[in-house]
This record gives sequence, structure tokens and C-alpha cells, in this order.
Amino acid sequence: MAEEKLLEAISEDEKIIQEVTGQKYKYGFVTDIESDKAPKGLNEDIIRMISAKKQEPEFMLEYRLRAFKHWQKMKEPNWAHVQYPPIDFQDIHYYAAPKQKPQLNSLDEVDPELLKTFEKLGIPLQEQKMLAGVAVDAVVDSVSIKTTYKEKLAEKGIIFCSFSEALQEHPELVRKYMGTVVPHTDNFYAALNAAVFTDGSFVYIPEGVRCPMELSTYFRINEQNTGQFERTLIVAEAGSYVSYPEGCTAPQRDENQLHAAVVELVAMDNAEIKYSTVQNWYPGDPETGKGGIYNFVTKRGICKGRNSKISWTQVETGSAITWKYPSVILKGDNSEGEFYSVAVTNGRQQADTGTKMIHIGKNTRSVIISKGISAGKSQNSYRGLVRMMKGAENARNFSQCDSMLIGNQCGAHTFPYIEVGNPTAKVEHEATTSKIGEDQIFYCNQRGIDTEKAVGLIVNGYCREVLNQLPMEFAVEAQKLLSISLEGSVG
Amino acid sequence: MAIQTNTGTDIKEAFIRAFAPEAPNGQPIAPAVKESAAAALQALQFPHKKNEAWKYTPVQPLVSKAYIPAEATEPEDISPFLIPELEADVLVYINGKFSSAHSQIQHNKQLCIESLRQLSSQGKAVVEAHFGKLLNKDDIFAALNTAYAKDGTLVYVPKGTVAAAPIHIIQLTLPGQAACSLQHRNLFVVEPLAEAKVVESFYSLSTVPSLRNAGTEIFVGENAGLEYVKLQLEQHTASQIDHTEVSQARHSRFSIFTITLNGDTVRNDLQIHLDGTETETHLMGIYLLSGKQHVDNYTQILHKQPHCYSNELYKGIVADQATAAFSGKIHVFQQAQKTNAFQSNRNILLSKSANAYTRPQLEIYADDVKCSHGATTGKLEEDAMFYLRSRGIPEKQARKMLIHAFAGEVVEQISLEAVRTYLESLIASRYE
Amino acid sequence: MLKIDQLHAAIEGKEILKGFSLEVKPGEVHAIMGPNGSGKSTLASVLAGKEDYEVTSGSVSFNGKDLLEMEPDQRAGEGLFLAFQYPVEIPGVSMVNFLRTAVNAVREYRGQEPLSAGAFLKLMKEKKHMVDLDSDLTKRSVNEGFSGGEKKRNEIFQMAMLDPKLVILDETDSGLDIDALRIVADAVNKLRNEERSFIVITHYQRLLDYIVPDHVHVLHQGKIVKSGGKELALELEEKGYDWLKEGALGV
Repeated sequence: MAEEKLLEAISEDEKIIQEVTGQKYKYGFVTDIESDKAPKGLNEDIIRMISAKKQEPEFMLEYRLRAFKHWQKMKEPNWAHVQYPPIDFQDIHYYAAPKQKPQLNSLDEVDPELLKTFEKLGIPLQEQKMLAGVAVDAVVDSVSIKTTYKEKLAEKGIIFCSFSEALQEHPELVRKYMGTVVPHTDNFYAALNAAVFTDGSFVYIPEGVRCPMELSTYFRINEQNTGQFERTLIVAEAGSYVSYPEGCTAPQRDENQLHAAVVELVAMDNAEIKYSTVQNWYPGDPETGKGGIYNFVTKRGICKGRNSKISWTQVETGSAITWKYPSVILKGDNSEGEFYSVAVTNGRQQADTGTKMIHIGKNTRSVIISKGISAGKSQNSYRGLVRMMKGAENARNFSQCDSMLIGNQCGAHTFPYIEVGNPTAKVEHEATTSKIGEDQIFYCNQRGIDTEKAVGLIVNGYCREVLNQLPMEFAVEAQKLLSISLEGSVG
Repeated sequence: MAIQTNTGTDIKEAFIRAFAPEAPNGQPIAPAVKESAAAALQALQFPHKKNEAWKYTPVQPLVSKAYIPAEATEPEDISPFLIPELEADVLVYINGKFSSAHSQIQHNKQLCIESLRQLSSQGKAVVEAHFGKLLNKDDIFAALNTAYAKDGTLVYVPKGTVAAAPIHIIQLTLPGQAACSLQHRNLFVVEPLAEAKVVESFYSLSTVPSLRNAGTEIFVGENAGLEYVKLQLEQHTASQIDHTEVSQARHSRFSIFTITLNGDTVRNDLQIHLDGTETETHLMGIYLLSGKQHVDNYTQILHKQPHCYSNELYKGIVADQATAAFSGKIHVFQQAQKTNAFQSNRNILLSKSANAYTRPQLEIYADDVKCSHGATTGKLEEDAMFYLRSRGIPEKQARKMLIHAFAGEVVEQISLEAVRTYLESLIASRYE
Repeated sequence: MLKIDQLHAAIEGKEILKGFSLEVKPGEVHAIMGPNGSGKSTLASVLAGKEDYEVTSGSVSFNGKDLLEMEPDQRAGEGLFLAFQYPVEIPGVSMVNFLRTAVNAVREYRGQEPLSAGAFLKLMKEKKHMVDLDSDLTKRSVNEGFSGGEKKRNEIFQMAMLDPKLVILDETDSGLDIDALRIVADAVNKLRNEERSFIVITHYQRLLDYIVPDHVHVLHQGKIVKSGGKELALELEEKGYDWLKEGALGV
């Protein structure tokens, strides 16, 4: 019965709502683990040091150096609808690793301090969570601590490991695909990442294999003044499928932290990759905006094969500044790209996010559903490009961009770019901007629901289409984050 | 039989003469309104094809035929035109003229249901108060109808009265010697807190072309309700230009179903004024076309007051070389905050040379409203068709099922069960 | 149960209620009628605690407590239910979710255990039947795309779910046809008992043929100018409100 299903979902809602109490940033704490860190600043020596520390193959160092040279010639982009003081790239530590080099077989061997941290964050690293089918590759300050379920995945020929490990054990695969979707010349931050990235995740799904579980990675930024440069590469061979949820939380800090990740996805014939993100980094002080994360990410996938599909789902509630456009290059005929996004900004947050759908192949289809919510004194922009190339016969796109305003000191902006080079291609765009209604809140109040709960209910309803795209556990966390990040924004 | 065609500058004159054999004075109803409409007619022109409102329907071929007024033929057996199982008060019009012999008004004693030619003193008073208040002289066809239509139906539902039975109006066109012209005019007045249902069905038995210029004015009073089902079931020789204009007062409810299953060229102009707050309106339509049929539904809903709800759904299937046009204007006035307006037009094309034109127009001047429109044009779902056939259902049967399902979304909203059943059987045999 | 004493309330500086007084005892049904702009809906909003209205003086006690001191959700918890004149749409939030949240919030306020999923579904089924509500409506988003009549019936359904002590029906009969009106009235009559009271705000005497009131009051320029039994409503229906304007009031 459909209603019972609904109810199950509601019970989850309820739990979430109950958990939403404290006004302070819940994940604002600092773990005390000694770091092995590089001196501040960036030069060739630092890059050589990173590469040497990680005992990388020669080609990797060469690649890094090429990227660095290119980066030095580039300028920081300024076209996004965001404002922040200039970043001193020489005032950042480009490498940090927990001192206790772990080679662990069980949780007992993990630094107890770290385990506590995980617990506070609610990261499902405990056994019972694993049994729930989540293999976790937890990354703290760039070095992979533990990878679970590796054997089970290995049975199917799936490779799921840290990027450093992949460089040691599968250099040929890394070499073949790395930089093919996001070349080191792509943009300022992608180039920086290519030069200095320290770790990340690598996933390879062989032909015809359906990955039996959600592959998760939890990221945290922990070390003060440490730029975080993650690199993720997922390759899905013909006829394979993988769902990869990525979640982030970061502790409270006074100084801005830079995060410039690169994610590359490659889908071959009939392959499907589902990539979900819940992003909850520290947004900065709600009054001054001080201390929040700068999140400048390049995420791109290529539907290389026929009938392949790449789907991005993101719930962005954190970071002081978000600059992020998960994109899909639809190269194979009949391939499909999807982008489902919720971006919430509150306090002094600024988000400029959206997607690019580049249609190259015939009968390619893409869907964009974007829900922006702005509260406080925040600025929230959707920026999306839909490009129909000459050969994109009968290609189709549907875009829907909705913005919701809470209060009257925030801004919502929509910048759609539509470029159609093929007369048979069809592009549809819809956009709405609405205000969270006082009458909606009053209606809930009159039914006995307090204002805080009412806002959660209304906002979650507004985002329903996107939240439905997330894996179950993730959806719960996402709803929780939505409510937390909008606390105190109404009345 | 060859049909004569008029040419040159006298087209309009000849056309008017065909529809207006008598002078407007000496008419039994609202002479002043009629005379002023006749005067206005002089200055009005037929809509040019550049006229946006008539973009999809060429007027010239329709108006240049040499029509002669349809004669009142002796009526025959009308039982084939009754709707089975429908307990209703029945009014029958033969070639536009009321036939008291075939009409039977027995259920609704409290209502005033009359032919415009035979008004009681109460009926007269209602007509004097309402005639021409909505449908008047801005449009050449509406003006022609206002000035010269001689017969039609008055339905008056007094305050607080819930009609005991539906009212069924049958409009029958019988064979004439040449292309014939017909007119009729309806006036429905539903007073506050009253409720009624009207079904009007059109049939023709004529093999020569005919053109009916119809006009209907409807006033739905405060917290009153009216459901109006229009069944256009004429033969392929019969054309119709219809103007229906409605005014809704506060808290009122109005539903109209425009069902076009047959006919030659059919143009339905529907305009609804939401003159009071918190009204509810449903505009529903089905058209199932074939041959060279041409059907143009031109609808306008004017949201003038806050908190009104309107829901428009027109669905059509177009076969052969037929053409369907749908224009739906939703006009939300500045003060009409909290308007809720939905519109949807869905077409299925059964052949490559079939045409469907959809033109939603949203004109919104208020900032706190919810309006949406959607339009699709496509083929009958091939997957569904294949699925049904793979289960052993023959193609013809499968097609019938899918068409039934497609039209069902509209049909099931009709509250009169007998009408639903009747319509379902007509739809089922439509593409046989 | 409810005692309103010399209530004055204003919106955007404009005074609408000008010394409104009314006492409602448990089990009573009071009808309030009056011309447009007399303050009928303002009264409903003020009692429910809508922020836009400012109470400038007067008092309202509800079961011995100061109603005006309470937040809107507390008032709901105390047992005050308002059937809205314009029910609000909340896209994406299913009726089931909304009602479950509301029912359990109110239960929590009253110190009751939350309802289990099974018990809630059972209750919903029972009440849906009572108001003859299309079962499809509870799966849809709150009021979204509902027609006028559906919205009004949905209000009555929520009333039945939340087990209130005092119900204010704000023009719930407006826009309903006779069949829907009967359903609404039936549901109200089923919920009528010695404890539960109703304030019925309406334009149309017809509703009172079905929900027979104990008292009828005429509201004019922000206060009650005439009270009587149910026959007063008939008189109003006949005479309209023009007599109010002549100032020949026997207050």
C-alpha cells in the first residue's frame, strides 16, 4: 500500500526533525591528531615532495609538473556571482597526513580519537552499518584510513580504492583515464588540483558488472590551513552500473579553507553511473561569513558509449562559497545525462552552481532539475549551459530551475545559457521564483506544527523531486541537513 | 447538387441576408439590444486570416457560400436523438425552430424553461434583464446572432432552487434544397444558490452543407452551480460557429464540456468572466476528427477576482487530413491574486497529414498566482498498443481501448451517468 | 469554554474589531453572519493567532487560559481548530505526512503518546470515510491542485483528525454545491457533542438549515449588533443587511 510507504518515509522525517535542535553548527569540533604536514607554499619542490611521499610512478610526477606550469600562467576566474577576498595560494599547506601511518585490518586498530570523530559525525563506519551494505572509504586529510568490503568487491572484479593505491596497483588504468574528462588545462582550480592533489578515490567497474552496493566516501577537512585537493575517478565499462554517494562534513574553523576537488566519470556503452553528493562543510559565521569553506569543484562525466547514462544528484547546504557545475558530455548516441540539485544558502553563504549538458551524439537526452533556497543574507545562483552540437540530431533537454526565497535580504539568480546548433534538437526551460509563504507556515501552526518543523516540512516538500533521487540513507541525511541549515531563518 | 459561391464585395451583404431575412424590429425580445447589434454589424468585417484569433481557421470559404435560411420542416420521429436513460426535460428545435410537439417539460416545475419565441411574462422579464449583456456586438458573428437569432432556449433557475432533472436541448438540422443557414440563441440564468445541468446536442440529417451561427449567454449567480454539456454530433456537411460567453459571480461553480465528434468546420468561441471571488471553473473538451474536418476551440478565461480556480483540459484525436486547433488564453488581472489556473491540451495524431495546433496564452498581471499550462502532440502510444496486441487483443480492439482511455479523463468528469454512457458508446464507434 | 471580552484588533493600523464580545459554552454552536467587511474573517484569524493582526485591547480566555498569550501551534494544541476560508497549498508535502506531523505534534502537546503508523492509518481511514473524502486526496500534496470544494472538505477531514475542542468554520460552505454542503454538515453534526463547540462563520443562511445553531449573531463594524436564535438567520436571509446601514439598531 502506497500510504504505508509514505509513512515509513515520514517516520524518518520525524526522527530528523527531532534531531534538529541546537542552533550551533553541529559538526564544529576539531580532532586532535598529529599531522605530518608540508611547509606552507607551492613550488616544484613541494610537488616533488608530495609525489615522492606517495611513491608515485614517474608519469604522475610529470603530469603534476605540467599542470603546475600551466596553472602558473592562469588567472583566477571571476565570472561567478560570488565575492571573497583574494586567496594567497602561498599561504596554504599542500600536504598533510595523519602521523600514525595506518595499515589496519580491523576497526580496533584505528586511532580511537578518530573513531570518536566518526561517531560524532554519524559516519556509518561501524560494523552494523557495513552490514547494511555500505562500503566506506573514509578520507581524513587526504590519506585513506580504511577501505572496507574490498574483498567482496574484488570478487566481482571491482576496484574501489584510494587514488594513491590505484597509482601503485593499477597505474595503467589511472594513466589511461585520468585527465581525459577534466584535462589539467580545463580551469584554474582543475589545474591546481592536478598539480597538488593528495588523494581521493578510484573506482573501476568491469564490463557487465552491476556494483552490488553503494560506494561511499566521506570527506572531512581537518587540518588548519590545509587546502584539500581530492581527485576522484570512476570508470564504468560497457554494460556496468555503479552508484556512488559522497558526503562531506567539516569542523568549525576561523580561517577560510580552500577545497578544489576534481571528479571525473567515464561511462562506456550501456553503462550507468549515479553520483550523489551531500555537502555540508562549515558555511562560516552566519553574521560575518568568517571561517567558511571555499568549495571550488570541477565535476564532469562523459557518456562515451552508446546508451550510457550519468546522473548527478547534489544537496549543497554547506561552504561559504560554492562554485560547482557537475556536467555531462553526451558523446555516445542515445546517451542520457541528469542533474538534480538542491542548493541551500543561509547566513552569508554564496553559491554559484548548476550544470553543463553538452550534447554531441544523436538522440541524446538530458534533464536538469535545480532547486535553490536562499535565506539570511545569502546569494544563490543557478548557472547552467545546455549546448546542442551540430550532430545532436533529435537531442532533447528539459530544464527546471526553481528558486525559493526566505526573508527579504537574500538573492536568487538564474543564468541559463542555451546554445542550439541543430534544428531537430529540442530544449525546454522552466523557471520559477517563489517566497516561502507566511500563510503556509501559519497553516501548519494552526494544525499544531511549530514554525521550525513547518519550515522543514515546506522546504523538504519543495525539494522532493531531487531528494527522491538520492539513495535512501543519503536522503535522510540530506533532509536533516536542509533543516539544520535553515534553522533560525524564519520568524 | 452544386453549391453556389458568392464573390466580391457583396459577400458580407449576402451572408447577412442569408442569416437575417427579417428586420430586427418587430422581434419579440429585447428590441433595443437587437437593433443596436444590427447597427453595429454594418461596421464589422469578417476576420481576416491575419487576425490572431482566427489564425487557424480560414473564414472565407465558410462565409462565401450562398446560403438560404433553413426552412422549418415538418418534424419526424425524434427518438433516435434522445439520450437513453436520461430523465430530462427535453426541448427540440428543428432547423432552429422550437417544436413544442416534440418537447416535453415536466420535471422542473420551479424553473422557467422556454423557447425564446414563446416567453411567459416571467421569462420576458429575465430576458430583458440579461439578453445581450455578455454576448453582443464586438464580433461579426456574435453581433449577427444577437441582432437576428429568433429562437433558442431560456433556462431560468430561481434563487435557491436545485433543478429536479437535467435539461436536454436537441438541435436538429433537416435536409434542405440548398446550403442552409441557421441560428439559435440560448440564455441560461442561474440565480444565487441554485443548481442546474444542461445538455445540448446537435444532429444533422442533411446532405447539403449548412452553417449554424450559435450564441449562448450564461449567468451563474452567487454560490450557484451550472454544468453544461455540448455534444456536437452533426454530419460532415454541417459547420458551426459558436459563441458562448459566461459570467460567474462569487462562490459560483461552472463546468462546460465541449465534445466535437463530427461536423465539417467547427469553431467554438468560449469566454468566461470570473466576476466574483472564489469561483470554480472547469473547461473540458474532446474532439475526435477524421476526413477533412476542421475544429477550432478558442477559449478565454478572464480571472478578474482573487482566489478563483480554473481547470482547462482539452483532448483530441486527429485522423486523416483533419485539423484541430486549440487556443487557450488565461488572463489574470492585477487584482486577481491567489489565482489558480491550470490548462492542458493533449493531441494524438493518427496520420501524417493530420494537423494539430496548440496555442496557450498566459497573460498574468498579478504576482501571487499559480498558473500552468501543458501541451503535447504525439502518436497513439505505440508501446501500449504493442503490449495490448502481444496479449492477444486485435489491433482494432486495442486502438479502441486506448482511445477510450484517452478520452476517459474528460468523460468521467461529466456528472450525468446517462450522458457518460452515451458518449462512451459514441466514442467507441468513432473510428470504426 | 471561550470568553471574548471587548476585543479590539487592527491590521496595518486599521481597526477591524471594535469591542467584540462573545461567550461560547461547551457544546454550543454559534453562527456569526454579517455583511462583507464586518470583521468575520478577522475574528477567525485573531483567535487562531495570525501575526498580521494586532490585538490592541480586550481579552480572550480559552478554557481558563489566556489565548492571546499563546503561539498559534499552542492554540491548536489546546484544541482550537480553524477551518480556513482559503486553505493553503504546500507543494511536495503529502497530506499523509502533513497530518501525521500535525496529529503527533498535537498529541505531544497534550501529553499523549504519538500514534503508531498502523493506528494513524486506521484513524485516517475512519475519518476519511466520515467525510466521504476521495482516498486519492490524502496521497496528493497538501491542497495542491485541489478544487475549491475539495479544499473545503479537506479542512473538515483535518478537523475530524485533530479532535479539537473548539472549531471555527470560516465560510466553509462558500462555493459548495448542495451535495458537498450536506457532507460537510453531516461531518460537523457527527462531531457535535456536549464538550465540543463550534463558531460557524457564513454568508449563507442555507448552511444553518443543516447545522442548526444555538445562537445567531450579526456582526457589523467590528462588533455584535444583534443576537438571537436560529430564526434570526432566516430573517437576515429575507431582509439582507441593508437595515444595518440605517442605524436603526436595537443594540
